[in-house]
Amino acid sequence: MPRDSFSGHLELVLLASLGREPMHGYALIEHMREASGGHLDYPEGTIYPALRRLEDQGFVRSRWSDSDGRRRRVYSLTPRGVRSLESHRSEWDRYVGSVRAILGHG
Amino acid sequence: MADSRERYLASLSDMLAGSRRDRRRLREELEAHLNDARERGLGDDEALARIGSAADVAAAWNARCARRRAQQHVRAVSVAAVAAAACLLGIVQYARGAPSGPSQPPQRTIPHPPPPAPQPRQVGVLRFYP
Repeated sequence: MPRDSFSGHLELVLLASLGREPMHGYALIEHMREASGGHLDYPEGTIYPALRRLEDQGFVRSRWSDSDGRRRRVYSLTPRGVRSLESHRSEWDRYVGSVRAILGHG
Repeated sequence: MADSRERYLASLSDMLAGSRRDRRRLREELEAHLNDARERGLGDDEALARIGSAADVAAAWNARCARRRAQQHVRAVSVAAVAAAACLLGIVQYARGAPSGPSQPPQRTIPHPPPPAPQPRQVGVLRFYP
């Protein structure tokens, strides 16, 4: 699956992943790769600017966390992020339903 | 191996826009990311390849910075416009003589007593007696 097919949905995928549990960047990337069966394989360095964009918009918050002697930045959804995720999920479902209906009739 | 990592991070730092604090945070996150990759058995070169070129990461980062600057600019212009409108309103009210603050209660005036009626002037009459 070409990576560009999903490039516009990175923020939705990040919100949905963080909706499961707070995660640091590397764990987020691993989760997205595994949950998508390897289809979502973004350049890992672009995840961090995307997370900062979500943070700028108030959808995500982050803090440094020390565990096992390692310092990592952990991201979690804000209440606003939860609402945005719900809204985007509904939009996505409608979009997929529409495209599927068209493809099914094609 | 550590050299390629340091070279990458130095090259990326040179291309990043934004505040020093923000840039340091991104660098620290990428270092933590590379440490996680190393812990999972990936070599630095492979981990760097997965991160993507420094130019691509910087482009994504700088786009975010530009967007943030634009938002801050719009916010500043909006605040300035509201302040200017408030000043203009104050000037207009001042020019019309209408005080913008709470109106003062009318001052109580004590009526002055009416001026005394003019008395007919006594004209002296000179009388001459023989």
